[in-house]
Amino acid sequence: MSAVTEEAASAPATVLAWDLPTRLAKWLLAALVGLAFASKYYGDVGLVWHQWNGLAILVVLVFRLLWGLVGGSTARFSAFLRGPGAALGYGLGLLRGRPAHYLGHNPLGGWMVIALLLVAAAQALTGLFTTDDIIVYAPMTAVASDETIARASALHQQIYPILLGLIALHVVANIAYSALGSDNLIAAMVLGRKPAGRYVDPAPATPGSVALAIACLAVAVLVVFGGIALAGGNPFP
Amino acid sequence: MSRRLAFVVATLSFAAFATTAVVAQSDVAKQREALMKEYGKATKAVGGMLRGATPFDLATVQSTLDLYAKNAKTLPTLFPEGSGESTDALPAIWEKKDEFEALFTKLAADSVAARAAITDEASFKANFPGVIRTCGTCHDSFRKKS
Repeated sequence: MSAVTEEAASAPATVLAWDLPTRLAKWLLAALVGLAFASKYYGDVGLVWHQWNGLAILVVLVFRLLWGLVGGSTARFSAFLRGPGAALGYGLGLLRGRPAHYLGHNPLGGWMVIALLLVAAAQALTGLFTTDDIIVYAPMTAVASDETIARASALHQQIYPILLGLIALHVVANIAYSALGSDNLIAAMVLGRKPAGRYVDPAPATPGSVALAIACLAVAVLVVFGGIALAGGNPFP
Repeated sequence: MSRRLAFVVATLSFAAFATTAVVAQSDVAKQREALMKEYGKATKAVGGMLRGATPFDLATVQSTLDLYAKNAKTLPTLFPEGSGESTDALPAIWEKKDEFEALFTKLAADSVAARAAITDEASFKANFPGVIRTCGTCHDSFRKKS
């Protein structure tokens, strides 16, 4: 009894905000998107490295999709996807300097998560059908029509600046929250914890099961590589 | 009457000339597209060797490099002024003609040099990618994206 009291007194009072699989997927996706940029501009001429990058990104995206259904409480889409009214209300509070405090993604942040996932998915999927008409033939070019390939190749170039813009907005917003506001989102996304306090959403977060996370990852690998193979593509660049 | 006839003849011959010019223009676009397609087909085969998906074959690599050098000599002559209409050719080709033609000169020179340098799979993997980087450089600046 006394040991518990001592621990509570000495340790800073924090609560779980995002579970480990959510954070791993988030930082892995960020790293892979960075690597995809590097492998496009500094990689091999056949973009083999870039294609593996894209496949890895697809795996993480499918994992995140599954984890958004069965993962930790703050990772679930049902928990952080809120209507435009809530987003507007939150935005107004933010402008007045009195934002409502959320343990997980706030209503605007939730929409940013969805936007980032969707645009990254569009970029990864069009990448599967992209060719440079020289030496790069992505996994699905073997079975797609010339029109599809031309369209996807153009889209893959057009989506890229949109993705960069979203990432820039996302990074600036998080730096602003963490450095200027009272909510250190970057630390919370790294360490998984936020100071105990009053939050709009239920605190602490309930972590997802690690076994379930591994199962989601296995399903994601199977969906991506199996899906490409079933569609007649070559899943190994 | 004879003046009117002369006018008709002049008009008709101008129309004929204009039609010929348009036909010639689309012909020239078709010709260069055919040469580019030859590049694409040959490069695709070599690309498989570069990735290790198909076995290395020196003769195929050499004939591909010969094709690069041969077509790179013809291609610059197939971009006459005004032949970009409804093709993937960007106006930059004629705005920066020297730069555009220099890329073909480089491709031809690099192909000849690589032809001499490539004797086995290792020298192929070391020398071939550098040759085709010029293709991408040119497409980025002078070819429509979609």
